[in-house]
Amino acid sequence: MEADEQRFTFDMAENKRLLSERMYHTEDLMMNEIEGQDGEGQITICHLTGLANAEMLRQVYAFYPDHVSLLRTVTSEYEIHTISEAAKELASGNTVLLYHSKQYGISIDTLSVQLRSVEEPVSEAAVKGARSGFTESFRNNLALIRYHCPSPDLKIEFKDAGVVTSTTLAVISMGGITNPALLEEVHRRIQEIPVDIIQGDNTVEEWIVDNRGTLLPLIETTERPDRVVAALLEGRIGIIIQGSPFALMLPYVFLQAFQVSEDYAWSFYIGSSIRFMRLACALIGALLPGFYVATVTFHHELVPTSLLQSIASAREPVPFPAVIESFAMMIAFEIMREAGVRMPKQVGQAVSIVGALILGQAAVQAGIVSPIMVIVAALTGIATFTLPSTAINYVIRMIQFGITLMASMLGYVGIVASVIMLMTYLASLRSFGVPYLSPAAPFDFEQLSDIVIRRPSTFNSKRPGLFHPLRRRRFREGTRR
Amino acid sequence: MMRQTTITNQQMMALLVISTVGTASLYAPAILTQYASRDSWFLVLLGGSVGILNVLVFLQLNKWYPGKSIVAISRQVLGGWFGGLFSFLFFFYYLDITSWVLREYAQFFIIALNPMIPQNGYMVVGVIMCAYAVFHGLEVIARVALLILGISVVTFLFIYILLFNSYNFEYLLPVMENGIGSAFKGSFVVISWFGDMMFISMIIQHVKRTKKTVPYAIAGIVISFLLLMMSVVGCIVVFGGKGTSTFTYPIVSLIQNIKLFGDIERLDAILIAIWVMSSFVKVTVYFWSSLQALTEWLHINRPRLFIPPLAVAVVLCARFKIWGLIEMSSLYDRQAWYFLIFQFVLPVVLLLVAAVRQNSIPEEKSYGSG
Repeated sequence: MEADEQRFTFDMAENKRLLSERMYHTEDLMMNEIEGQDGEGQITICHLTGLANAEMLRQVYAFYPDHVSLLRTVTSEYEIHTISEAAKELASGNTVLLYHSKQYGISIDTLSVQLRSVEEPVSEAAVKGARSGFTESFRNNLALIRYHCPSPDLKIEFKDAGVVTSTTLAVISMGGITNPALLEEVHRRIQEIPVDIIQGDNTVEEWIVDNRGTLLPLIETTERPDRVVAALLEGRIGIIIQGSPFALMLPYVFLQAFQVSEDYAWSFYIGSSIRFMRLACALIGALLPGFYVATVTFHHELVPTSLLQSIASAREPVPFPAVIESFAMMIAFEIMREAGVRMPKQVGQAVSIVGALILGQAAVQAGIVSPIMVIVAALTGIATFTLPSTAINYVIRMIQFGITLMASMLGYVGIVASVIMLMTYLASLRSFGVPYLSPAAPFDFEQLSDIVIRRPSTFNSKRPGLFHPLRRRRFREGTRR
Repeated sequence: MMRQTTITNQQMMALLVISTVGTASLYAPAILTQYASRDSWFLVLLGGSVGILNVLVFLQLNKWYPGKSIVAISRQVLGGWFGGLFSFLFFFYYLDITSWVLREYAQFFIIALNPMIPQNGYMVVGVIMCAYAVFHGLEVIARVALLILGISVVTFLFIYILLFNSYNFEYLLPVMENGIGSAFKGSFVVISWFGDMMFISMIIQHVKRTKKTVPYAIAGIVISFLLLMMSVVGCIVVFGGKGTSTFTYPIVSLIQNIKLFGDIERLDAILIAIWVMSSFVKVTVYFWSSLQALTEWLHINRPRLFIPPLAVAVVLCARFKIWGLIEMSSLYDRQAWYFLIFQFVLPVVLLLVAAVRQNSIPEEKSYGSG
C-alpha cells in the first residue's frame, strides 16, 4: 500500500525502478529517455508495447519538440504525480512522459487496439432502422451515442469500477430530462461495487439491481445506439462499460421487453399489431405446453368433440402420459437450441435438419410422441424467439417447465395458480425504485396505452412519467396536438 | 414500527370489489333465488344498501382514529381487557374467513371441475400462493388485485354479452308477486356477502388518503353491487327463477350455454381462471389482515415468521371444519348471523362506544387523532 502512494522523486533511476517494480517487472514496459527542450531536462517516455499506437510513438521519438505539443492538443492528457497513477495509465494504453526535473508526469492517450469495426447488431437485427451496433471499443461506443444524439444536453460521466481492473464505466444521461435523484442513485450503486474485476455488462448489472438474485432482468441491455438514445430521451440512464459491446439501460419495466426500436420504424398499425403479437407469443411460450398437458390429462370434456377425437387418435400409440411426452419434447427442443447456438454456423444447418427431421418425424413414426405434441413444442419454442429480450426469452422457457409440471398435477388450476404466483413475484420486483410491473400494476392507463400499443408519435406529446423525468413535455412550446 | 406501505384508492377499490363479489357471484344466484325466486334482484339491492352503510361505519371509525386499524382502535376505545378481547375476536374472525374461503375455493373444483384431484392438493397450492403474496406484503397484493379486477370484470362482461341471444327478460315478470315481505327472508345471507368487505378496517390505514378515498370505497361497493346484480339477473333471465335455484353454481351452467361459431363451447376454463384469481385475492387479503391483527394485538416484531404456521392452521381448519358442500352452504344460509356479528355488530358497538367517549371526553379526540 505504501509503495502505491509513492510520489515521483527527483531521482530518475529511482523513478524508473519504482515504476518497473510496481508493474512487477513486466517486460513489455518500455522506458526511453530523451532530452526535453527549453530546460525541461530529461524526460522518460514510458509505454507498453503493443497497446500504445506505434505510429504516434514513432513520431514522438523522432520529432519530439513539435509532436508532443501537437499530441497534447489533440488527445486527452493530464498530469500525474504518483507511481501507481503512472502504472494505471500505462495499463490502459497511455503513454507517460516523466519530467524528472518537475517531479510529475504527463499521460497522453495513445491507446490503439485492433477491434472489429461497427457491424449490424447480432442479437437485435432489424429489417428497417439504423444498422450500427456497439463494438468492444469504449470510445467508439460513446461516439456512436453522441452521433445519434447530437445534443449539448447529453451528459457523460466516467466512473471506475473493479478493484483490480478499474474498468471505466460511462454513465450517460440527458441534462434537464433525467431525474437527478435517479442519477445520484446510479452513481451511489456503482460506487459500491466491490468486485475485483468487471467481466462485462452483466457483472455491473448484477451488482446494481434492486433485487439481487432476480429471475428476470431488471436492467435492459442493448447493442443498438439508437435504442440508448431513445431511452435517454425518456429520462432513463444508459451505462456503457469499457470492453463490452452492450449498453445497460435503466430503469426497466417488464412490459418494455415487448418493445423493439423497429416498432417505430413502421406505421402505427403495423408497429402496434406486431407488439401485440409479441405479447401473445410470450403467453403461448409460457402457457401452451401446460395447457396441452392439463387438457389432455384432466379436462377432456372442455375440448370440442371433433378436436378431441383427433387428439385421442394421435395419442393412441403413445405409451407415455402427456407430462413425460411434453417434457421430452421440450428438453429435446432446448438441446437443439443450445446446440444451434454453440455450433459453428456451417454445422448449424445440420443440427436443424437432424433436429427437425430425425427427432420430430421419426419420433412420431416410432410412436414415442404424438404429432400434436410436436406441434405444441415447436410452436412454443418458436414463439419465444419472437421476444426481443434474450434474457426474458430464456426465463419464459424456464417458467414453461414449472407451469407444465403444475398443470400435470392440478390441471387448469395449477396453471392459474402458477400464473398468479408469477404475477405476485413480478409485482414485488422493482427496478431502481420503479415497480417492475408498472404501468399495469400499479395501474396507469396513460402509460399503459403507450407501452402496450405503439402510439402514433404525433400523439406522444409527453414523455412516459414512469421514470420521473424533469420535463414531461416533448413537443416544441406552443405546439397543439 | 412497520415500514410505510401505501396503496392507492383504486387498489383499495379493487380489493373491495374482488373480495366482496369475486367469489360470491358464482353461487349467489342459486342461493338468492331459493329465497326470492325471480325477485332476487331486490335482495341484492338490499344487500348493497346495507353494504354501503356497513362500509360507512368503518370509514367513520377511521375518520375518528386515522392511521389506526380496528384492532388498535378497539384497544384505545375499550381499554386493555375488552380491547384485547375485541382484538382477539377480530383476529380470529379474519383467520376463520381465510379458511372458509379456502375451503370454498377447493370445493368448487371438486363439484364443478374435476373430482379426480384430491381437495388437499387444491388447498395446499392455494395457501402456498396466498402465503407467498402475504410474504410480499400489502402493496404487492394490491397491485395484483387491480390487475385481477381488470381481468375479471372484462371476462364477466364478455360472458354476459356472448349470452345476449338467450336472454328472456319476461322471466323477471311479474315483479313482487308474493309481496315485498317474502323477499326479506334471505337478507342476512346477502348482507353477509357484502359484509366481506370488513377487511377494509385493516387496510384503510395504509391507503394514501385523498379527498376521493371515501367515494372510492363507496364506488367499490357499488361496483360489487352491479356485478352481483348482473350475475343474479343474468341467471334469472336465462334459466328463470326456479331453474336457477336448482343449480349449485349457476354461472358455470350459464357459461356452458355459450356456443361460439357452432362448435366452440364449454368455456369453463375462463371461469376457472376467474375463480382462482378471485379466491386468491380474497384469501390473501384476509390472511394478510389476520396476520396484521395478530401483529398488532401481540406486538410482534417479525410477523413474517408467523406466515407458515398460520398457513398450516388455515389448511387444517379448512379441511376439517365441515364435511362437504351441503353443510357449507346450509351454514352460510342459516348461520349467516355468525358472520354478521363480526362484520356489523361488533364494529357498530365499537363505533357507538367511541361516539359516547368522543362526546363525554372531548380531549380524547385530539389525543386519538394525534
